[in-house]
Amino acid sequence: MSIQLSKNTTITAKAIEEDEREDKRRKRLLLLLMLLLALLACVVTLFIRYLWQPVPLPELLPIPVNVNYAPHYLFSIYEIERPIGVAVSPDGDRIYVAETGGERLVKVFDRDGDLLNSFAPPRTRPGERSPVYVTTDKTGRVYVTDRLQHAVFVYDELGTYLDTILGPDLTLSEYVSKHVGSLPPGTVLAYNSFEPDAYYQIGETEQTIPAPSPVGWAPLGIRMDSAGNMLLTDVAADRHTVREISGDVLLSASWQDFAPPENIFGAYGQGDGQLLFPNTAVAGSRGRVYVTDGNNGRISVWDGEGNFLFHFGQGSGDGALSLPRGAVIDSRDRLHVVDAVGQDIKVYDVSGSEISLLFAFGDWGMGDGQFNYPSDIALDATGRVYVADRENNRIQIWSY
Amino acid sequence: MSNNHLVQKRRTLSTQGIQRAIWIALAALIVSVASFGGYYYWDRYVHSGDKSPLDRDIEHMEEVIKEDPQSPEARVALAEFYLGKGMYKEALNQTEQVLNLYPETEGALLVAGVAFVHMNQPEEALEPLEKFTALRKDQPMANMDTALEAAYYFLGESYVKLKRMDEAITALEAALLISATDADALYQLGLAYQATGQAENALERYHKAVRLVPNFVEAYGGMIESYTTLEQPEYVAYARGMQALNLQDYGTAQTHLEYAVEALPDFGPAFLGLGLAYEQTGDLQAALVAVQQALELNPGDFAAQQALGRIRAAMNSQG
Repeated sequence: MSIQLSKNTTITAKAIEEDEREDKRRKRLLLLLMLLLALLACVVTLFIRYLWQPVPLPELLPIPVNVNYAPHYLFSIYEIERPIGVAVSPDGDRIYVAETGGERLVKVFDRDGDLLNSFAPPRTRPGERSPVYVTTDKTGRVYVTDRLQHAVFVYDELGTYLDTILGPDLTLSEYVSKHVGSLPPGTVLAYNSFEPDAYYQIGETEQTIPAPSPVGWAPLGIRMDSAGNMLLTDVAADRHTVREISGDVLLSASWQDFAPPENIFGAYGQGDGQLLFPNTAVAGSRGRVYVTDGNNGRISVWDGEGNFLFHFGQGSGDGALSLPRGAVIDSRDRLHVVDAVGQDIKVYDVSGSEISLLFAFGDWGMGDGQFNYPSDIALDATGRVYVADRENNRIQIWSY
Repeated sequence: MSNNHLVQKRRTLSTQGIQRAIWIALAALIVSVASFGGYYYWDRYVHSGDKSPLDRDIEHMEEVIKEDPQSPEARVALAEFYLGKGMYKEALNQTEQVLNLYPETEGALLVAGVAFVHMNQPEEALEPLEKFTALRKDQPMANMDTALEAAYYFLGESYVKLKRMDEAITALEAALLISATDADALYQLGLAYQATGQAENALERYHKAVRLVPNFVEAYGGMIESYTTLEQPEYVAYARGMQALNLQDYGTAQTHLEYAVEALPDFGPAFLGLGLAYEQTGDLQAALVAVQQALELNPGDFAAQQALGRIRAAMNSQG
């Protein structure tokens, strides 16, 4: 009897020990399962986030990953003659290209590089227009500077002409409305600085009024900052300046009373705070404005109030610029500068107090990923880089 | 006892269930990672995009030939596009079909010859190129015929490869009569002269070639051989220095060129080369002195004038 009891006790102890071992094993397996499920959830979340917003992986991760790598070449769009300016619509679905060859049109392509349509200022012939830089605002409106017309032409996202900015505080709609009274919606306007008249059409009949007198400005580079303010470079003979035009007026429904507050900075010359053919001005997240000071071969840096801070990129060595033209800044404060003579794109980190060259991409040539006098650059929200490769007659598309 | 057994069984099943779930989760994880990775790569790195003009020309011409397979013009045009794309076998296939029907089609002969040269088959290149030059050389505008010049050049290059140097010299001289600035023809002619023991003639061609293309590394290689033949070690040093300079080996370039300028104090090109080497290594003061010396010896040397301007600008920008 006592032997039987002892035997039962031994069996029970063994069973308890086995149960404990089994429990531990189950716990370990459960932990592993949890880990795998967590990993699976992370990957699926990343995948869904990428499908929702296809940005480069480092920007997709919830924690900031500070890696810098040059983009890679994807493909080119070829149906263009001497492209000089490029911009992308806010949704990234339309690419606007200003060409200085051929018909001198602004051509519109989709993300795959298929031509959608083209447009030009109404009532102008190719010899009377010369589009240069292009940009878009938050609403998708397209702004095109024109060297021959000395004006900024404004279109909707489809390329329908809307209005012309004739000077810092004058639009065509304002000029016409001052002559004929308030313009109803749907009024058709046209302006060509080579013709003596400006045109407007209310209803069926086209009417003319004397064309406005030139205001003595020469808009060249055009960009919008994140707040919707316009940064416009002016290369009129006696002054090479940057004009920062308030976005509140630009985003208003009508421009028949166009007098936006304006901040002007820079002067013609080679010294500190002076500019020689400023091509583009872009705003960074620290409130600074970076101006590609073309013929001085440098980037000129200003604070948000228009006070000159310093310049960089002049001279020789790494990061030195030859002829900076188009520029753009990304969400990580990386300034991308097109060096037309250096035949590459130089990318600087401007997030801190020290400016440093991160990398450059491209070199001279006619092959894929090579440039022949590049002129302008645009970025979209998915990490694509568009470069106007002027003498190769194409837009190159690169991707981070 | 029976209850214990049931509990045990339930636990065992539960453990097995967890194990099964782990395998499923692992498989799902692998599939998700592979899907995301694949899609990410495809979306960011693979893009059919717009085709290059050459690709579109090829596509268009292939369509034309599908509609009219008997057109020799279309086949020659397609062969030229294939040649431009580096698709030499495809180019030869087209020219063969044309030449079978029309053996004297000039375009097909030239494309076939050039394709053979690019495929490193000089023996096969000779027949179509000789035939092409025979057909074109007596035409009224032959002395301005760039296609004929190309044919003579490739013929000369083929003869050089086959070590038939006398024929190479004849062909390359004929090419240079049409285009005196063909640096490649000058280089090949230099090789032919060198191989026939005419080192001085070879050097004359190499020097002309580097005047036209200053970074013509192979031509400096030819100079090394010719100066060695002529037992002129100081000029060998110059050529070695220039070769190294153009291969961006600036340290080696300086070593050779410093020796060359010491041995050849009246030889401007060595001073210029040394100046360029100093410029590349950032020694602008030494570069300025060397380039000024080069200009003193050869005041009309455009490359030296350009270098001087560049060096001065760099010095000014450094303050």
